[in-house]
Amino acid sequence: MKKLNNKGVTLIELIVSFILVAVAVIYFYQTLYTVKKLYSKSQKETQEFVDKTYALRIVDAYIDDEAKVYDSLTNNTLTENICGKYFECDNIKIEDNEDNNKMYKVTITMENGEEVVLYKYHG
Amino acid sequence: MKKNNKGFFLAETIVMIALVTTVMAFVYPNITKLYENFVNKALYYDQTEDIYTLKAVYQYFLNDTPIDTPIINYLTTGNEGECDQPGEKKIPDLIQLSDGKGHGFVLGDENYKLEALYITSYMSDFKDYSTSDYEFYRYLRRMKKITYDTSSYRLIGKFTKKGVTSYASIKIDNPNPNRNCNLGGDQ
Repeated sequence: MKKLNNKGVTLIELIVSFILVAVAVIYFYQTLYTVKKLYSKSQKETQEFVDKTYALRIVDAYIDDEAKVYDSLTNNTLTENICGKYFECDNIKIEDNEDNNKMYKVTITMENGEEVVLYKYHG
Repeated sequence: MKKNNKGFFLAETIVMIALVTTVMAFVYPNITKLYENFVNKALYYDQTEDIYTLKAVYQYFLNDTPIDTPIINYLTTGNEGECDQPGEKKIPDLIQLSDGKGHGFVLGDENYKLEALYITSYMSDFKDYSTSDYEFYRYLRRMKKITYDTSSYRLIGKFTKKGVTSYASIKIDNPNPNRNCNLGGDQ
């Protein structure tokens, strides 16, 4: 019969190896947690970015193609024709720009309350 | 069976730790820089809102105030109409545009504001900005890397949204292709 192998690890070696593994696991979990948090945050931010860009494109195109004349633009027209039809938003507000009377400001209030600003030139 | 007494010497362990630490010391700052660049690019550079504003402002300049005027003004008053000679740099990299009322071009309020508007050419190297406004300099350097059209000009805006600064730029045509001198000099 084969002789019994009495080689093994001492208590000290065992403790040291446990500590090393524990430290490694802590850092590993921290990294996993950070990655998970970053992933959720980036998903939310990407969605907000897409919504914002889409809103800007739609309103810009609507003003250029449909409304065209600055004087015909009103808050009600813009809100009724765009909000809920092309994308979800609370309201669209149009106002003159104090600094430069050749430009006007369109403020889109998104569903989440965030305001998106679009400046337009009206000549 | 003979016991195996082979193992690492203290010296070998120390050398290995030193090597790993050196590698980490080089890798960590690069990763941090990479992440910072990513955050800047994603949140503070060339946001859609800012690009639309710049487009509207560019339309204003195309229709109402010739955008070449400040460059010509600079070349006639500041530089006496002379182009830079090799090795000298009198023509600036950027010129701040004005709304014609004696101050810079400003739009908006504290929630969303175009704080300053500049025009520059591809040839600029922006070295003068490395000490005065480092964040702006970083954006300018990045902008240069992504521009390949050597004849192009760019309109650059510095924006603030609720206290946070962001930068954006759009490519525009050379306002006056017949002009001998370009911003940033002929490098």
